[in-house]
Amino acid sequence: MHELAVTKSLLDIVLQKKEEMNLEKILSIQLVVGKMQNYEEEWIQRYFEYVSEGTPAEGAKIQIRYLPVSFACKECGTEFEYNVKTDDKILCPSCGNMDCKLLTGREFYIESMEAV
Amino acid sequence: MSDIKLIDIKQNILSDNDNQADIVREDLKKKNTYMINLMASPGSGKTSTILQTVKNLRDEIKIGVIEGDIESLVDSEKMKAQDIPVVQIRTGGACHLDAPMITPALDELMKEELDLIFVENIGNLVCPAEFDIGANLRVMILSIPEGDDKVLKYPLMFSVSDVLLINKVDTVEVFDFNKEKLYERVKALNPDVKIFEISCKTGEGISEWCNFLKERVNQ
Ligand SMILES: Nc1nc2c(ncn2[C@@H]2O[C@H](COP(=O)(O)OP(=O)(O)O)[C@@H](O)[C@H]2O)c(=O)[nH]1
Ligand SMILES: [Mg+2]
Ligand SMILES: [Zn+2]
Repeated sequence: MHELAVTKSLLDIVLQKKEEMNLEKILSIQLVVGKMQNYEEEWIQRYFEYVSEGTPAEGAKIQIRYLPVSFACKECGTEFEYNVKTDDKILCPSCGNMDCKLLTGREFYIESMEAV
Repeated sequence: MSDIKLIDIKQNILSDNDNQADIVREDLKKKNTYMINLMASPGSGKTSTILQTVKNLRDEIKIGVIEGDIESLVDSEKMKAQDIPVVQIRTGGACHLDAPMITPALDELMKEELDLIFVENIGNLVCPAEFDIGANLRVMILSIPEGDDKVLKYPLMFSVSDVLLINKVDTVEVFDFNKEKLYERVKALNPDVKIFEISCKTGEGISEWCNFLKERVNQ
């Protein structure tokens, strides 16, 4: 797995932002992760503690907001969530149409950070 | 104590990789070369598919290979034995290829003029799905012995692939594989995916896949 590389690039981004904005210390980082991704809050936190040691991001809390896998019906526009681990059909709960477009589920980005 | 500020970032965590991937794609475009990111589990038939495709198309298209799967040189040797230009990436135990790894390999391989490059990614259905390597087409292989429920376990891979090759269809009787079920699951998650059923052993379906590929490369 590539947790280490991913957490390093996360650290790079927040440290750069800290420099740009002339801040002192990063307190927390908010991530958005789609349910199709395989990222657990616990291990991101653990790796982040390791890579951020001795930097102004040391001790920062990682907070993940998970986005469900969701689709929009191409016929009537209804948006609905879907559990990819089940074998259910992907079909519109309003009109029964099966032609739907993926809306969320693949995200992996930094939304914001808290800093002083 | 100064006030706590909430700072908006909205940046992809893998944005460095994505930027490098865009650079790779621009380079390829300048040289008029098409690149495929070939992803699958170990043993599903990545190497066999490349060899079959080259055999079928080599009179019409000049094809090269970047080998990323494990560090042994077995797959590279198979390519060399067929006179296929090949560059091996030293992955050092990584679980996926990324755009910065591809760049130097591509520079070396592109010393000759090529129309098409296959990148044999590391055998794994999880990590390679997350990393754009600058390819024009993402192709994944699912082989019959792996089972028809893989979509449920690795949805991201099935969601990001442009093409799904179902390999080893010669073994479908043995493994009790429900093809209808698989199509249903995949099409739901990824309605635009192109699916080809192939066998690298019997050659079934290879010409359909190659015709599709030829059209893409010549576009
Ligand atoms: N029966 C059958 N075996 C295949 C087929 N394609 C590949 N194989 C065998 O599967 C094994 C793994 O293939 P390989 O191409 O090395 O897989 P890779 O690890 O994904 O590169 C080899 O023993 C191949 O001969 C196929 O279509 N049918
Ligand atoms: Mg191989
Ligand atoms: Zn609808």
